[in-house]
Amino acid sequence: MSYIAGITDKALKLIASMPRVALNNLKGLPGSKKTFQRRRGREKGSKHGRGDKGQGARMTLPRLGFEGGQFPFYLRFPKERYYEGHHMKRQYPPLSLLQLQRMIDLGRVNPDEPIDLTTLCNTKLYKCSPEHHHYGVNLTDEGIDIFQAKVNIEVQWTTENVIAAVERNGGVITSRFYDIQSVMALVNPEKFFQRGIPIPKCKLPPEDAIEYYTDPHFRGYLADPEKVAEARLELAQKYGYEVPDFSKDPLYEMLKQKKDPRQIFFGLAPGWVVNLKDRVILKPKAQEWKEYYHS
Amino acid sequence: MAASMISVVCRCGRNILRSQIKGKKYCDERAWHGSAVLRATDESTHREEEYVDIEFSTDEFKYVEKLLPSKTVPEPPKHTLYPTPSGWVPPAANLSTPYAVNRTKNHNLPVYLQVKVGGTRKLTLIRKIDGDIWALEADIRNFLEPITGKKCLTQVHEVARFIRVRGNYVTEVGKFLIDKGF
Repeated sequence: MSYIAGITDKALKLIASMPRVALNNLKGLPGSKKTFQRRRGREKGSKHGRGDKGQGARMTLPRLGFEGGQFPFYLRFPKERYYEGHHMKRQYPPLSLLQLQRMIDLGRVNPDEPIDLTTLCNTKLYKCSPEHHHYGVNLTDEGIDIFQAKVNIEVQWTTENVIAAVERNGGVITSRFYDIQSVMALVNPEKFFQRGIPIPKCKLPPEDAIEYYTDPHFRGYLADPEKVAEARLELAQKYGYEVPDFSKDPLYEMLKQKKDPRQIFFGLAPGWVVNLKDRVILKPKAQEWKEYYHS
Repeated sequence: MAASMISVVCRCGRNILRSQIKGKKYCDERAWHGSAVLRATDESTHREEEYVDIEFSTDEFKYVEKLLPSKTVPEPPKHTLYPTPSGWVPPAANLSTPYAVNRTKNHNLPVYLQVKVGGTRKLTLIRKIDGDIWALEADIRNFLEPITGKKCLTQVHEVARFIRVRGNYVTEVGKFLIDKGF
């Protein structure tokens, strides 16, 4: 008995000869997506969806919120300026001492290297988004009783008790300001280097932040180092612990490391361009460029 | 002379550089064609005053490497004493229970607090459960009921491998799982 190719075989052959399903040969069910109706043509033309006569048809409608002369709702109540400009203010997303200790315990952060905003963002456990006016890390005191790590940490905001907790263990804490362009570079250095622009020199803090960053009590990076040393002693007396002697510490060199006020990355100077692909750093030789970046 | 050496042409063949020098408007390259094709015939005619004098260095590249994040989550280091200062305990090996609760990729317990309905409804979620999920549910119930003094209301989702307990018992459930060795 000879085999006659039926409708099934024809259908299967048709499917087999079709191209692979891809984005360029897919379409939704008719009516699944609403399309913008322009209201042109014989059927939709004439009044174009505007109805009969009146302001609505003649493009003379009053402003939004107008109530025909009645005192409108949006003008009835006075403005309250409590939160004016709050959306533009600098924000420091918090990181608790407990979180920091957990990161160290799990090996996400190395306490034998200085810790700064980049180290914390690279763990991917802490998020700082400069596009949302996040200017850096705010170290909070949750977990202050269990904090045992000895670290050289650079934060953007902190409180007195947190400073005491860090220094009690023999660590060093500094309050350091970064302008928003520097924060963008710090939060994702890989993405910044891929842009191929020179490392920016960090700007000085704005007027309302100068007081904090020049205050030795908050270990500000612009404060007088002698006053900072005095403040350390005072804090130790206040909280009742002995100030550890740094010079005898095996990690002294690491704990001593501090960035220059214009520097944003450890070991890299402003003005340099990093070539990630060829693993090379480009430094400007011209005197005026060097002077600019060192000023 | 410099202009004739380098010819930057768009794909329609018009010489962009020449048009720019003469002040004429060439066809808007980006609008029409996309990228231009650069045919530089002599590199020495590039205007050198435009380029900054630079030097190359590989000495400081080690500092760049320190700035790049690692692509994987590292294994936690060995500690002499557990729990660690932050309260972390590693999972025990070689457990013989009908069920298992696996750690998350950051080596933490998969126990979460779900806050719903504007904060009025609190649920404890235990995820990543392997094995006999009903046995674990019974054990959690028998553990929580004496502590709370209330009936322990649970939801068991076999396909998604989670258990939900009504109420905020994250600390208690966490302690229970740690004691079991998970």
